[in-house]
Amino acid sequence: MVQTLFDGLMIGGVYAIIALGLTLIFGVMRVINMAHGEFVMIGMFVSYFLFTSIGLDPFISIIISAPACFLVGYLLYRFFVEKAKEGGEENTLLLTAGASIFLINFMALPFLLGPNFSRLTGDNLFWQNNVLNIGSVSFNSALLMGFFVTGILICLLHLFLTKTDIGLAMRASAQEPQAAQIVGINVSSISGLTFGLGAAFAGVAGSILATTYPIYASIGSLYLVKSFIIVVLGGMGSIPGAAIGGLILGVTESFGATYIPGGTGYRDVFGLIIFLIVLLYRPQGLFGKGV
Amino acid sequence: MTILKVDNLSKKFGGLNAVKNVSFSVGKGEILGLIGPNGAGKTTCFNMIAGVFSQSEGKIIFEGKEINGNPPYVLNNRGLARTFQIVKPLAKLSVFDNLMVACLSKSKNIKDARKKAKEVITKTNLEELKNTTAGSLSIGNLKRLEVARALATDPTLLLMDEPMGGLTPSEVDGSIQLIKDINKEGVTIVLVEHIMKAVMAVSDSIIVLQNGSLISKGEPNDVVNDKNVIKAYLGDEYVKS
Repeated sequence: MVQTLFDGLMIGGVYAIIALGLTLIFGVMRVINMAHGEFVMIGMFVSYFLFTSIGLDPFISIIISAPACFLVGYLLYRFFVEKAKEGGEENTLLLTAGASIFLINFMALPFLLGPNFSRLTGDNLFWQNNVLNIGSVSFNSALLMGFFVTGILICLLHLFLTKTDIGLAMRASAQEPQAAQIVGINVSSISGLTFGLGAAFAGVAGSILATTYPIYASIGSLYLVKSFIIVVLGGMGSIPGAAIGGLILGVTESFGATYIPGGTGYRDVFGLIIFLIVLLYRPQGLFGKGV
Repeated sequence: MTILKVDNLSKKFGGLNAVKNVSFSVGKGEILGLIGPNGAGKTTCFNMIAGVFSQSEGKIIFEGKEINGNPPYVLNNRGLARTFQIVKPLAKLSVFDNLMVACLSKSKNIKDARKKAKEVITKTNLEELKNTTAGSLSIGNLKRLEVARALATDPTLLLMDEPMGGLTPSEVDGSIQLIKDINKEGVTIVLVEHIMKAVMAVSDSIIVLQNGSLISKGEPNDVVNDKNVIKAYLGDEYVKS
């Protein structure tokens, strides 16, 4: 049971990073980013490409995948989402859904990911099947490392939002965009930065996941669904909610897959059951809303 | 010297002419009272001057330059601040952080912003509430915070939209004094207010809007004795009192 708990916490940590990005974007801009999962996929692809071409470790490639996703996210916001926002929430939902379809099909081109599964393998991949035993519990080293990266990112995000001028501007823009503008904050730029930052979080998660899971163009959809479950569970726009919601989802999946007969094949269903229960009995989530 | 000139300003929302060919100017260091019944177009005028709405026709000239189409944050950086009729606090932040948000856009670093925020908090008598979450303030203190946040951006022109709405008589007196103090420091003010006692106490001149059109302008005593203004807005009781 302890092993199952830790397995769940490790993968839940990575889920939490993805959901942090989604909830940050929603909290500041009230935009539901349907393309968020594709930033996970882009992060995976960047790590895959750098590992297969120059042998760069996936964890080190975070320093490239995160800025790459930030840039794509920022440009997507400034050139498309920002204009769609003027037409209302439905427009941004449809636009990001369109961006998701485009990115999946673009990345499936033969010279990028192609139509098939890819996987990081090779003797020089330190993380491959690397297990760390602590007492009676075995840890997948890559996911353990990912768990620590998640913890560091959450602390950095908290410091960024509470101690820096841009963080304060983000919180102001989230609460009262009109009041923020009137005291000199360029809400449009802040929104672009937020969108990019959210995408960068997904990119980091992609690099971590690339060490362990298969990589293919449409894998983002799976993580998008998980992120939605976490964001609803934790409370739309709540950063602590996303962090804790990620861990809860990971643990639920892990226990369901281990203790329910045939549960391994239905791993993703357990999260959807939580999703339905939360929507029915606590629609505001565990931590309400707000950044 | 004129700091703000509004020339034939009009705003249409579909078939509704909310503001029709309004022209006025404000001299540097003056307080201009902008009065009129509900729906007269006062807030719409403010929204056009502050860059929230673009005008359908006309010109707005601030410190000698046309500012048509500039977004609110650009205008604020040029010295134009405003308060809202329905207060818009950053409800989850403390009073101090509300001011820090405003100070940071003008200050070079966080240390300078902190210093400026402390100055403003003292000036507006919010010291005791500096760590209180803005969302839990009374309406009187929220109105004060609204003014403080605008002051924190170092404005040369301050548009105040009903800063005394919902205040008790003693709070109104405090607000009148605050407006006078702000003005003494060289800030030009355009004040929309329904409490005539306050408008008369602080204004150098007054303009009156009705149904989107300017119906009177001039010195306070002349305007309140204007028959058109009495008929459209003040009523006979005001004259008798």
